[in-house]
Formats: sequence, structure tokens, C-alpha cells
Amino acid sequence: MSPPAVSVHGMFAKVSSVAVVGLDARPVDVEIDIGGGLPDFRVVGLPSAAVKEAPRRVRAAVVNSGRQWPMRKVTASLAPGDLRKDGVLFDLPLAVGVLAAFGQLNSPALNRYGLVGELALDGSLRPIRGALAAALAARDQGWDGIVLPRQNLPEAGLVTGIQVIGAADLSEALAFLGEGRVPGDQPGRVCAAEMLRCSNYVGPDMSDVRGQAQALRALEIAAAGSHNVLMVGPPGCGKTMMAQRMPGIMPPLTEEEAIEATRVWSVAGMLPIDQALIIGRPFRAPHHHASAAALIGGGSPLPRPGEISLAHRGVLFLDELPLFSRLVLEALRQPLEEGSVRVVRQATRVEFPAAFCLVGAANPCLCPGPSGSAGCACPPGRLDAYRSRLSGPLLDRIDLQVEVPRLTPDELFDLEPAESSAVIRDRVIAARAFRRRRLEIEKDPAGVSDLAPALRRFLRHATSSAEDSARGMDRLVKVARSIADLALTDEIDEQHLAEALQYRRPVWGAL
Amino acid sequence: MGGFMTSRTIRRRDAEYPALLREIPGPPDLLWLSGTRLDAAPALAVVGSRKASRYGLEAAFWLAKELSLSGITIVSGMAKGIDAAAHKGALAGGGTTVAVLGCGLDICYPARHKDLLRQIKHCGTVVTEYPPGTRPLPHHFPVRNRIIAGMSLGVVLVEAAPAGGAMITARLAMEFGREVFAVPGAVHSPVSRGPHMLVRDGARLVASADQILEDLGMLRSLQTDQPPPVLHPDEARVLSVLEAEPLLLDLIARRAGMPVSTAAAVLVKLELQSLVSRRPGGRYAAAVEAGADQSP
Repeated sequence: MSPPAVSVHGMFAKVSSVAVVGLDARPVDVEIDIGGGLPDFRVVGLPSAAVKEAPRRVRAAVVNSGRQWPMRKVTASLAPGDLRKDGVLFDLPLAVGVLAAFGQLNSPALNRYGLVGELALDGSLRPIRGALAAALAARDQGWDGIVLPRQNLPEAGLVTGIQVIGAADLSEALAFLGEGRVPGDQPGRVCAAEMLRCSNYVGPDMSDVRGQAQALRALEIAAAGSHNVLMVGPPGCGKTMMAQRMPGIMPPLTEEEAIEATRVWSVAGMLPIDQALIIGRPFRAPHHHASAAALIGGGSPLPRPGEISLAHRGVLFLDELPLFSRLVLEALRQPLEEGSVRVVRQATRVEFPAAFCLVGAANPCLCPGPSGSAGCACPPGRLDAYRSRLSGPLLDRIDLQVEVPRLTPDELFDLEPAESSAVIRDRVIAARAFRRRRLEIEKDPAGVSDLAPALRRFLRHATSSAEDSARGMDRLVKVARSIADLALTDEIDEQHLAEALQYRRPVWGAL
Repeated sequence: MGGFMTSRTIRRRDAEYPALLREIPGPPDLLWLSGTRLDAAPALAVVGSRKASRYGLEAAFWLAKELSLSGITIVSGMAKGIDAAAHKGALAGGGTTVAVLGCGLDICYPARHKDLLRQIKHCGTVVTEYPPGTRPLPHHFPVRNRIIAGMSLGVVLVEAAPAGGAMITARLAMEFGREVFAVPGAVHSPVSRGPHMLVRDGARLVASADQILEDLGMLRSLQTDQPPPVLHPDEARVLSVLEAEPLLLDLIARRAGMPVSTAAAVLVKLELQSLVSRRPGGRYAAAVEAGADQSP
């Protein structure tokens, strides 16, 4: 291909791409101008450091793909100019734009496709974060399709209604855009529902647990009614083991939930390469040294989802809950209440979904080793300080609190393994279905005021201690409702309330 | 505060007006109330210093709780220290409690007792003779104390300085012909002087709730009034498998032949009846026979 005659006026091309902001991708016009002056290549339009480095990669990739680089002054503008751009996905549109402006690519299809991808110096395309969001944005923009790195094809292929082209390198992308040549062996698309149906994903099974009926029951209620759980017990009693098995007793992900979760994982860059879809409910267990940004989401210039969003539609397990920084624990309150989190950084404000089930675990005291609460020798002052790290408002949002005993050898011998996850899950699914049907007829009880007078009296008799806040009481009623749902019963009765109380009272004395 | 919205007034001729309060000289004509209905249960005042010791707070909490478990309504002034501990004890005992304020119902004084005030409104009654909006002026409190003493069968003084407001309540109780009980304290403590002074003047020294009930002649009547608890078959079954040695819920459920969910609920009900005690380590045991540790 011979270089075109250089006109005195500049040469210009415009291609479409997207910028990932939060979980959304917004359309970005990549405009290229080739004008007179010393050879240079600059990007304007609030580029981050990663975007500013793009020209080096792009030039090398173009040259190494056997194309000619214009020895002119190249200016690229990413519009809208007041939107911050981060990431490496502009490499591909920049390269294509420059070649189009330079007359090396003549493509009528150019502005009907969105382009995203990171270029390696040899011209091959590397996978990007947020491919699913990008494909969704392409569909929303009414583009014909999207061209992206081959490895992102599985997740982007979940988006139906547009053409999704996976290119292994710059040449394949150019061949498609210029001549309409689709790169070879594009895998057939499998829709999300199909993937979920065919998945044979099995996590660890609850039947590995021995005894611990009370904690298991609490987890079952939590799974049925979307409650949060706190397990308090000495080290080694099985708290982590049970928490890891919690996703397995929750109903399988629906198509919508799976796509929501996949979007988060994709934007976070955590989606395994060979996996198109998050199939099992996520389980995240960040360490207690995690910073607020790591947990809640953050980073500069554009915030990325944190652990709580990676746990979206799944389980967030916080072991040693009192050892998390107070700042982090307080920051959990808003997402726990709203199921999403707003992260604000400089000029950018994004919202990440964070509808997770919180499973917390705590040791009853600071004693090292297996002494547990029986032979505890902690100084009272330190013990108080340790326990008070869990603030009342946070504990108020943890509906189910159970003590997890360390079993004696006799008890271990005496007790059978727990039920299998599948059996528990079936009950949970039935309870949720029952609840859905019930909600078509009546509303959920909002709190104590919706109870029958006899039950109100019972509750008043049972909860006059000083620790019960109004919010706590209302949540107690919600737990009782979930217990009634598990029993497939229309009306809450005293039995349900009594059982809810079992999981409500603080497991360590609050006085 | 929402309390003002739910407040109501009662007059001296109303049935809800405490009968004992009618008997004192100069009873208030009008009372502002918030919370549950003032019932006819026998009431005792538990009052004391705002600068109480840890010992005093614990004693007030414990006495109020025990009295409350016997069906006594605890009256106090919601001040810091002993008053607050008495209210909390009554709430912990599951009984009702009456807070008599020296300000309007819409003002929480002291402000740190906002939660306590809310709980008392939820499980008991807040009373004042001052209309909403009245500020807690210093001279209100001695006047308010006559209501505390007036509506109670007696006054239990836990800790007080000789010139403290709680001493006024005790003196008023004497004037009204009510019982005055004093809880002993450490000899060196300045807040022991008030109660010790009263003992020397002839007040009854008390060291347990039973002693107070006995002096009021209520011990026997209250205990025999309580019908023996009628147990649900499930409750009886769980109780029969429990031992003095704490047991895991798993084993209780299996031995009683019922699902874990049922056993968990039944245990809560038994615990509310003080028939079961929850032990650290997630285990349950049959409660020690009530009263066994108090018999001589």
C-alpha cells in the first residue's frame, strides 16, 4: 500500500471507542489529526498515565504489523474532553484511527463499530478489563458491533444483538474493518442462560461439617432471607469452613445475577481468561488488613470495584471481624443497607453494586490457642476494647448472631455430618419461591407494629433488655418472617419469633 | 423528638392516676405521660447519687432487676448514675419502669440518656408535671422528687451524699409515711454517708430484693400469686433431656426428637421462664432451681 499524497491541509479520521467508568462504558470518539510539523504523537482529552503511554505502544505495534507510520505530527483527541480516561483499551482505536487518517485503511464500516483493545509492541492484542461493559455500551449506542481482543470474546459474546469480533492482533482487526474479513474460528456464542444450565459447578459441600446445627441453621435462614450472619467461636471450630460452604446453599445464580457479577469481575480485571461468565456465587474473603479502598472500591484516577462488589450476589466473608479497621467497618454500613456503594474520587463519582451476604467471624476473646471462652484469661479492659470494635450500628445490621462451639472429642464422635448442600439449598429455594408468591398478595412486615397483639406482647416480654434498638426489633421480625418462609407458613407465630430471638441476642454479654 | 407526639395527660380524678400519689399533700393536678399505661402494679423508687461508684451502679441495677422480676414497677428520676442504672435494671428484668422528669416530655435531660428514654417509653412510662417545652431548671428537681416518693410504696436509697437530691426523696418518703430502705456501702466512700445516715436514723438496711419484699410483706403473696408455669409439650420434652451439664443444641434436638429449629425456639422460651440457662460456648443447661441459692 503506497502512502497517499500528503495534502497541505491536515488529514483526519474519527473512530468510536468506549471509556469504562465504574461499571459502565461510555462512548468516546477517538479523533486523529495528522498535520505538519516535527514527528510527534500526542493524546489529549484528560488521559491518565496509562493512556499517555499509548503512543509508544501504538507506534511500535503499527510498525511491527508491517504498516507505515506517518512521520508527521499526529494529534489524537479523546472526546468528550472532560471525561477522565484510564486504561489501555484505547490502543486499538488509536492505531486504527491513525492508519485511517493516513489513508492506509479505507473502511466504510469504521464508524459503525466500536474498537477496544490493548496492543502489544508486536501488534498482538491483549485482553482488557470491562469488555462486557464495552459490548453492552456498543449495543446501547446502536453500533453494528464491537471489535476487541480475542481473549475477551467469551464474556463480550454474552451480549446479543450486535456483532462481536475477537481479533488476535492489529492485522486481523484491520482486515475485518477494511475488507470485512472475519477472523477465523470465532467460537459459537453460548447465551448466559445456557451456560448456567450446563454448568456443573460444585463448591465444597456442607456435609463436610460435623455438628454445629445452630450455626448451620442460621446460615440456612440467612440464605433464605438474605440476612447477614456473625459467627463467634474459638479458633478452629469451623467458622471459615462453614462460611466457604455458604454459597453452595444459596440458590443458583439467575441469568441476570450472573451477568451483573460478571460485569463487576470484568471491570475489576478478575475474570479468568477462559471463563465467560461467573457461574457460581462469588465468595470473597479479604484479610483484615485490607484498606477501605480495597474493600469498598477505589483507586485513581478511576475507581475500581472493591471486595464488597466482587462479592456481589455472593458471600463476603470477613474473618476476625473485630480486627478490621474501624474505618472499614463503618464504611460497610451504607452498602449493607443499600446493596450498592458510591465511590467518589476527585471529579468522578461511580456506583458499584454490592448486594452481598455478609458472613462475619470473630473469636470470643483474644486468648491465643484453643482456650475459647471457658478458660479465658484476657484482661477485662482489653476484652472490652476488642469487643467494642464492633459498633452497635454495624451489629444492628447483622440479623443473625450465633455462637459456634468448639466440640469436645466426645461430641465430635456423637454427632453426624450435616446435611448436604443440595438438600439445604432445595429448602432455601422453596422458601424464596414461597416468599415471592406471598409478596404478590401481601407486603413483608415492616416491623413490630405489623405483628398480632399477642406476638407483640411476647416480644415485649422477651426483649426488654437495654440492648435492643428499634431497628434491631424490626430486623428481628424480618428474621422471624424468613423462618416462617422456610416453614412455608403464611403467618408468623410465636415459635418463629422465639427462634429469631435465639439468633438475635448478642453472643457476648453487652453490659 | 417523637415522644411529644404520643404524649397524653391525666388528671387527678382519672383512673390511671396513681392512687398512692393522691394521698400526699399537694399532689400534681395534671400529669404529662408518654409510654405505656401506668398500671396498678406495686411501685418502688430506687434512687441515688449521680456520682455513684461502680459498686453502687451494680447494686442498683441488680436490685431493680430482681424487684422487677418479682413484678414490682421501678420508679426513678432518669438522672445519671444510680437512677439510670435502676431503670436499666428494671428493663433487664423485663418489668415496667417509670421515669419522673423535671422537664417537659420533649426534652431529654441528661441528653446522653436519649436511648434510655426511648426504651422507657417503649417498655414503661415517662411522667412529668411540666408541660412540653419546660426546661430542666434546678428548682424543678426537688419538686419532682415528691412525685417519685409519692407514687411509690417505698424508696430504696443506694448511694447518696448527705446533701444530695436523693436524700430529699428519702425524707419526703418518710414524711408521706412510706418505707425507706438504705443499701450499705463502703465506709470511706462519700456517697455511702447518705444511706448510712438514714440507717442510723432508723431506715431499714437491705442487701437483697427479697429483704425488701419481705419488709413490704409481699414476699409470700407475690410468690404464691404466680401460678406454676404451664409448659407446652415441646418445652417439657426439651426440659426433660437437659442436664446440669451444658449440652449442645445438636444433642438436645436429637435427644428430644425434634428439628433443630424447634429446639432453638423452645430453648428461648424456656430461657425466658428462667428454666434454662445459656452457657458460654453455645451450650445449654437446666437452670439451677430458683431460690435454691438463697435459702438459709
